[in-house]
Amino acid sequence: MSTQAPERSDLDVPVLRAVAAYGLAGSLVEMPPVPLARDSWRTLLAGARLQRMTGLLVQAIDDGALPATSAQVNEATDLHVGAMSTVLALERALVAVADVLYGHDVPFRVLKGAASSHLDYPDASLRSFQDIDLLVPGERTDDAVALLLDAGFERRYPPPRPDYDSRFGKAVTLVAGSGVEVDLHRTFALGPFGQRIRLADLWDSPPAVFSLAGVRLEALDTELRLLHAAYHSALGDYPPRLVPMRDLAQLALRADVDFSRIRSLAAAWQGEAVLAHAVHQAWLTLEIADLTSLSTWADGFRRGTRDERDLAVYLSDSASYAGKSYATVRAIPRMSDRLAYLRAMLMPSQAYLDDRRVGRFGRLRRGVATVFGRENAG
Amino acid sequence: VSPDLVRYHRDGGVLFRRVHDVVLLLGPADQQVFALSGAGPDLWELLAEPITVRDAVHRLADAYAVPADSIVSDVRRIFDELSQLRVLTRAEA
Repeated sequence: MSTQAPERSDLDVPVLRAVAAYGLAGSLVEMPPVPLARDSWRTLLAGARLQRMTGLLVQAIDDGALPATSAQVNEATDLHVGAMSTVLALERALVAVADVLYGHDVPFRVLKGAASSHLDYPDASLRSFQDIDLLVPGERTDDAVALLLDAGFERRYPPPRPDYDSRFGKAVTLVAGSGVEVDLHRTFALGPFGQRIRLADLWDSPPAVFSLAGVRLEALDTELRLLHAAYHSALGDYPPRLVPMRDLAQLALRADVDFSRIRSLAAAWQGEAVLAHAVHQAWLTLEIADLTSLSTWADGFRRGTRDERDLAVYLSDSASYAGKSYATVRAIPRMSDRLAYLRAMLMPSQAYLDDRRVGRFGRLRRGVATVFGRENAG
Repeated sequence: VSPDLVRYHRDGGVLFRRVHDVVLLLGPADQQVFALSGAGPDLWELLAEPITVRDAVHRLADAYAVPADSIVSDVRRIFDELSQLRVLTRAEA
């Protein structure tokens, strides 16, 4: 398959990739044989922090796999203590948010780091995170937002239209006075691939369960967590981040994963290109030599014309919110929903415009240009 | 009952992570994270199950190959501090 590597990112720093792959069976990425020089060490430290990988860094040093001076050991440990202190505060907030949602029978699943650290890594301290991500059914999004607003959270951005969150949104971001950020997700991704996910599939299977401070919490099951990691890795950021790749590999190398179910769900969501791209890129970046049925399938996958067109919305330096938003239109099956979505994009509420300090005309012009630009290019 | 014979365990509401040779603790009602270092992380491991101060002293003395008498006051103090932080709970008899 064709995979375009990002031009310049943490993916280009071999020792950071080695840390990202540390402990993965079958990874061939090599650690440096001697402690890093000052500048390289600074790059590694900054990258490990940004990529939520201070736990893997400290583990690699502790195990003697990554040579480090005593000063470097102290710096890495201090950084990781800070990251874990943040994680504990986030987990305390998660327990409080869970209490609010449980109290009003709003179903939710814990996503990303808060779940994968406990469910997918051998030690929860290996995976840091900076916010709390929850999946909430679209039809309960407004309820969940109202409850958290009552609990003292504030919305980071107003919605473009009153019903946008529950019908079309990827996630609503809420922030507490303490700075804790909670993302209430409806689907896995912005844009056409997120729109095509059959949301009922995310709720049909029994959840994975873990507990925090004695509180029972539910997460997506193993296969859905893998698919979420794949969508996050392939579509979340450009250049892609290392930690979702590690999350993906961490799950894909498990012996108890049902690959046929994963492929079946990806096909039903018209997201096979996303899954194949994410798996291929993770194997390439983390230099995983072991072949699994999933990695073999990903290597042999051939994208169709629509796959290429839709992936292009995400996989470039110029990938934008507006571009993904307008590409979403094609993925909305019902004409009435398409019109409602377009209306939300072209004529958003005044509060939404005020928050972004743009005028309605400016947005309309940009929106039209994006629509026509895509159509002309496609 | 002698205080040394009361059994304690971790409070169910405490959040914690082990980092290198430190255990970070966030109690149920705390805003601040506390760090246990030295022999503290080993004691925290023992507190996964109900244990008395006396048994904890003997287990740590064995692990560190030191006389129990030499650490009993330190261990008792850590129990007291953890209790004040409300990260320990008295086990039911």
